Formats: sequence, structure tokens, C-alpha cells
Amino acid sequence: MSYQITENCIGCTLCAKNCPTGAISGQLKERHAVDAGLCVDCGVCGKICPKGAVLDARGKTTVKVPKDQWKKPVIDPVLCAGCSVCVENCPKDCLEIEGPKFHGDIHTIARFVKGREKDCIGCGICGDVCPIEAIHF
Amino acid sequence: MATSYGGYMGKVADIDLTTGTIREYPWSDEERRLFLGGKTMAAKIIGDHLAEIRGPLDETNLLVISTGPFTGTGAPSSSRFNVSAISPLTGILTSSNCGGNFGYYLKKAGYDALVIHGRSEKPVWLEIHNDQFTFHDGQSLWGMKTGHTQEALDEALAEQSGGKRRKNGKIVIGPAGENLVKYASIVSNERLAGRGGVGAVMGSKNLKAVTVSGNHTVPVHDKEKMDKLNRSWFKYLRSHPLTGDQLPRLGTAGLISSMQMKGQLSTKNYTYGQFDRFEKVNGETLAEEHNIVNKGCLTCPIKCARTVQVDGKAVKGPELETLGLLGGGILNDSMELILRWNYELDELGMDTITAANTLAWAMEANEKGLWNNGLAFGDTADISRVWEDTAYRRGIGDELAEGSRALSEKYGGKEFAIHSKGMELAAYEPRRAVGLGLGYAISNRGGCHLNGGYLVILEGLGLNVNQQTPHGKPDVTIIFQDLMEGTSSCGQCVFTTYGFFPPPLIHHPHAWYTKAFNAIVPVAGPVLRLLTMFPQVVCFHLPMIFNQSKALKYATGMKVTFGSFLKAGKRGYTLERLINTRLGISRKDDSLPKRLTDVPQVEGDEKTKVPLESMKDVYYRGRGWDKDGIPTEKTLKKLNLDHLAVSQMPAGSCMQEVNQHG
Amino acid sequence: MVNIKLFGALRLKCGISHMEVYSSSVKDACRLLSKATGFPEKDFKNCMFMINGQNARYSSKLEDGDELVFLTPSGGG
Repeated sequence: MSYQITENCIGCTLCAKNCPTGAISGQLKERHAVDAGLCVDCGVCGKICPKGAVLDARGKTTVKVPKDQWKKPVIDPVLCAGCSVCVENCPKDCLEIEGPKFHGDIHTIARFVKGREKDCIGCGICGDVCPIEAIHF
Repeated sequence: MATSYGGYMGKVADIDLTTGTIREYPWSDEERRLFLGGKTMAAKIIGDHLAEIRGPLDETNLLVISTGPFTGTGAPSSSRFNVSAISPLTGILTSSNCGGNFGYYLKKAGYDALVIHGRSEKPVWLEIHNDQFTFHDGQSLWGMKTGHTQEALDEALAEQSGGKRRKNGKIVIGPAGENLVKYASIVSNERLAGRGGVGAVMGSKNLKAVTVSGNHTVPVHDKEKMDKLNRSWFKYLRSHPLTGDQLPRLGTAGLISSMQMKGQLSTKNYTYGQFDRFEKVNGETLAEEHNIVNKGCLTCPIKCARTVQVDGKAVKGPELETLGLLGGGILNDSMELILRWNYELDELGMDTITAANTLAWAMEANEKGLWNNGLAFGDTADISRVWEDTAYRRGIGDELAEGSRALSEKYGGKEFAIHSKGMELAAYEPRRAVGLGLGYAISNRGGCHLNGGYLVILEGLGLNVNQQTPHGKPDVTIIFQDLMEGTSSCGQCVFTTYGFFPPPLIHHPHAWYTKAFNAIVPVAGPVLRLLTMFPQVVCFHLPMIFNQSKALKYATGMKVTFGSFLKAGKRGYTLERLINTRLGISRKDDSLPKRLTDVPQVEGDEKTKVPLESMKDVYYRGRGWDKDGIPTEKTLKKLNLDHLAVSQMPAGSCMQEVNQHG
Repeated sequence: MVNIKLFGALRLKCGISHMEVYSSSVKDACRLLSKATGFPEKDFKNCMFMINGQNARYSSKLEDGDELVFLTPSGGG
């Protein structure tokens, strides 16, 4: 199930601009629509919609959350095996696998791409897909 | 057909390229239970249509791309997908496993497998996004190398999502596949489904690429238990000396030194087992001087892939086979050249193992005066051109593109054409690892070390079982083959099966229990025989060392134990053999070149050759095949294979006119 | 003088690839390597040994001019 936009939409285009997969389309001042085939349920549209016009995957109305309160992932460096499932699934491409710290080191773990921490939308997908629960919020 | 099992998406797409129609391929829960997925599933599908297939490069050939029930569930090293077809190189069933991200995204698109047949009139590429299948004109991509093709596809997809990058998995072919080089491969990211010429099959269908994307998630039957198992499984693999230390540190290339020491490194087209300048082209040199970072497939904690620099660009490093065959195999001691060739072969979309072996054969044929082609051992100046010529089928390249079996049939020199059933061997020299020698000979897809049971890990690399004795080896081969077949069918990398050796055995090679293990293997044949004949007696799960059976239970909800998992692997292996026998394979084809069976590696030591025939007898008995290597009716019945159409056909009844090698 | 060569994961960990020492047995060589690298002796003891291309044991004796190879057990291909 994907997110949906209700008739409360005022067509401010904020969601379409922020959607990482390009799933939302619509004209200025007209009701927008979500392409269910592209939506990855990241929820950023709901978190920024000023009118509460977004329904989440379960059909519940989402609430606007100020950007500074978005949750951020914390990666457990001991548990993380660098399997890159989170990297592959991050809709904003914020994560990468960090190379070994010194020559001969074999530890590779996931981390934020330098300078892209602010791009994180706190969608929680990385934590959901991590097979060993090494990512917490 | 929807499924009641977890781990599967429940849909298989049937794609007819001739008409451009897409249908759902019927695949039932009963078939899921019996054939799991991956290569076994592909074998079942190809077997069902075997009578219709007229030839490897004919439009009737099927290209089956399948995932397993683990793919996308979070199990370690489980992003793999399998590509199967009737091979243009060998004329029999081939399966090639690849670690790119195509399988992962195929399941995200909602499909377990793709069955591709027919032939498009013009070059096309296929876009799969959830349930939408779109054919695009492939004319502009045709001729492009694999790296560029993948970049161009990313751009094309982004254009459709309003300029935003769409995450996707891809498979593409390069110029070699387009020009029907018999060992062309399929590329996904930096990984290749290399062996058996599946790229040529794709090229013969005028299909340049397939992209998959979507937003489905894989259902897991018992998510809580699966997650718990995955946590401990990841931890175990990361703490194991092979998968947690040696492979991440050195990659597969780390074996070169061990092989050299044990006399198992193919040198000068398998004339010798040791290369005097091996230290310039071994895994340690690669790790110390060339490796930038160790990389791995998606979902894998092992990370055995290397990243190196070629012309200032970070590219994938060579695997053991490439390093061994393009190093000692042709008497080359330049690591830089191997890194470059490896990259060039990937870009052209060709299998490095067959390419290197064919080149080595050609060099020897020239040396012996059989074929005047200008190639010579140690003369490495012009090899890059040889690869290009092969991929574009120019000059001698046009002949090299046929592989070493076809060449040796034309020019003579069969005794040093290092192949089995038409597929060239990997870099391990089997005369000093006779168990692997048996594996190469009987392996279903031809001379493959992994499909052949990979006994070399016991014979000197990981453990120290007597390298020359044939005793006990056939029975161990059967068990290893079945375990790897099952694991591969689940969509998992066979490297996870190295966990099967408890860490203390590897950690302490001089401990009493390791010595006991080494001594017991050659005499354990009869006991192991009981296990191979009655796998169902093991009606429990093995602790930690083999998690696959438990994971299959949690992921799918099937009733699985270690024994039934072993049996599923056995079913898959026997089914592949059954298909091959219908294509004319029998005992006479389970062979090695005379160099490996008749000429001792160490002069004067008669033991250093592969005593193949005697091992084959034991192996066939253990497998429940008759003396000619054909599965008996009783065996088929025991494995629930007797009702299949392919088991009703007489041996050697299919594809006779094109399959003349048999 | 014995020529010692190291291969495999241990070589990368302890950072030396070869060494020439005066040593009369494998056991002695392990002790010397441990001293030179700072790695515990048991790490070297848990290797496969080969003297002049032949499998050897921890208790094997060495002679002048021998080549002693330390291999870490390996797998994967």
C-alpha cells in the first residue's frame, strides 16, 4: 500500500519537490497524486504537508513534524557487517559503506555520506531492512 | 500462481520476445516445495520444455533467470540470482550464479523468476517496473560495452521518474554476447553470470538488457525467528576463519599461495602444478599493493570482492581463477596486466575462465605446431587485442570465440584441451587434488569446481586430507554437491557453506581432532554412503554450522530438516543430470583431458594423476545411477522425479542434430 | 640460516612476508617470529607448515638452507 493525498491538498507542491522517488505529481494549486508503483512509503510527504492532506500506507492521516524533530539513524559499529542493504534501500542516497580505516583493516560499516546527514528524512527504511537490527533511531 | 509459502513473491513471468507478450508462468506450491528456486527451479522449467528446444542459439532456447526463497529476506549473502539455459559452449544445461543486485530487485518488482524465450526482430531492452513490462528500442545501446550500457540505462530510467534516480537492478550483455561468443557472460553491476555462455543466449534473442525495479517487500513466514537466526548467522560467518578473516582479507585470490605450495596451481596450460614466479601474482600481492577496498555483493557480510585501479579508475579486481589462469596458466607474472585484462573482459562481457583456458590452449597449439596463430606462452604484449578480436570475432579471435573443445576438434591437441563436457576447468590443478578431479569430470555444467563439490578445500587448502587417495572422495563429493545445490537453490552464495567446517578444525590444523578428521575422511566412505542414501534419517537441524535448513523453514514455512534439505539438493542435482542424459551425456562424457588422467604431474610419481574411472564407479553407485551414469528409475522415484516429462524421454533423445559433441 | 616465508591472512595481519633466521626447529621458528612481530606464538603455531615443499609438523627439525613456509588454512573460489 502506498501513501495517498486527500482532497485537502492545496497544491503547494512541497511534497512533490521533496519526494525522493519522483512518485508525486501535480500542478501548482491543484490536487497532487501519488504513483503507487514508485512510492516507497518513506513518509516525507506526510511529515511536511502543511494541511495534513496525506494518508499513510495504512490509511491514517499523517501529522506534520518539524524538520529538527525527524529521527536520525544511529548505526551500531560493532554489529554492522557492511552488507549494504541499508545503502541500497535509502531513498535519499544518504548512506554509504565506509572503507577500512587503515591498510589491512577488514571492517567495513555503513555511515552517512559526508555532508549528506542533513538530507536524511528520517524515514526509518534503513532500520526496517537491516537484517541484523544494527540501526536504531 | 499465488503462494501460501513465505519467501516467495508467488509470480513467475513468461516473456515471449517474438511476439512481445507477457504471461504468468504456472508454478505451483508443490513445485516450490520440491524445487525450491534458483538453479533447481530453472532446471525443472527447462526440463519441461526440453523437447521443444532445437538448439542453444535457437529462438526456442529458454533463458531462465531465477531467485531463491532467501533472496530479499535478510539472510546473509542471499542477493544472488541464477541464469540457466542450454549452453552454446557445452550443448547441455548450464547454470550460472551471479551476485549482482538483479535478483534483489526482481523480487522487489514482485517476481521470483523470468522465463525468456523467442527472439526479438530488432535489438531491444526490457524494463520491468512492478507489473509493467515495457520493451524499448535497443538500437542505441547495441554495441556498447557493459559499463556504458548500465550507465545509459540508469539515465533512461531516471528520465521516466522526472529526473530522479530510480533504484533498479540490471542485467546487460556486452559486445561478446551480441556477437555470440560461445562463452559470453551476463553482467549485473560489477558481477557476472560468467560461465556457460548465457550472454550469447541473451544476445541470440536480441535482448541487450533487462532492468527491474519496484516497491514490493518479500514476505517472511516467521519474521521474528528469521531475524534472530540472521543475527547469529551474520555473527558466525564474521567470526569464522574462512568467511570472517581469510576471504575478507585476501578475497578468493588468497588461495594462489596455498595452491602453489600444494602443487595445485595450474601452470602453462596445466602442464605443471607450480609457477615459479607466483609471488608476483598471488592474493597477498593483490591485497598489499593493489587492493583499495574490499567490497561485497548486496546483503553479504563476507566481502570477498576486491577493488583495484586501472587507468586511475576504481574497478573490480580479479578472482582466483582469473589470477591463476591468466598468471601461471600462460606464464605471465604481471599483476597490472591481469587487472587490466580482467576489467577488459568484464567490459566486453566474457567469461575469464574459458577465455584464459582457450588462450592457453591456443598458445600450446602454436608451440606444438598444430595451429599457427602467433600466440606464445609468456608473450603478453598483445593480449588486450586478442580479447577485443574475440569479442568482435575478428581474425583468430573468431576461432577463439568457439572455446577450446571446438578448437581442439578442428586442429587436434585434444589431450591438452583442458575442459570437461566442453567447459574449461577453473585454476585448480586436479592431479594433486584427485577428489576435485572427479568433481570436474562429473560436474553437471562441465568442468566447474563448485558444481563439482569443491573437494580441494579438504585436499590441502583448508584441511589436510590426503591429496592423492581416491578413497572416500566420491561420497564426500556427493554430500558437498547436494549441500551446495540446495544452498544455491535458496538464492544464497555457496561460500556460506564453508561455515560447515567448525572453526576449530580450521583454526588448529595440528590439533588431534583435525588430524583425526583428516585421517577419517578417506575411510568414511561407507558411513557417508548411508547418509547419501537415506538423508531423511537426519530429521533435525544442524547447529550453527549449517543454518540453511532452519532458515528455509522460517522463511517459507515449509517442513524442512537437514535431511530433507540434503534431499532437495540431491533432487536438484539429479534433475540436472537427467536433463543432460536426455541431451546425450553419459559415462563417456564424464571425462578429463588425457593430460590430467594419464600423465603424472610429478615425473615418476604415478600417484599424481587422477584415477578417474574407479572413482566414477563409486560415485555412480552412491548417486543411484547405473554404470553408464544414467539415473535409475528407482532413484528418480525416490526423489519424486519419476512423474516429470523429461524422465519419460529416452536417453539422448533431444537436440541430436545440433549436439554433436556428446 | 633458514628462509621463512609467510602466506595467507596471518601475513597480512602481522605485516611481514619473509624472514631469515637461525633456527633448529619449527617450534623455535614460531618463537622467533612471535618475538619479531609481537604476535602471540600460538598464531604461528596454528599455521600449516611446509619445509622445502613437504608437509611438516610443529615438532619438525630444520636444517641450514631449508625453506619454511607458513600457510593459513584457506577456502573459497
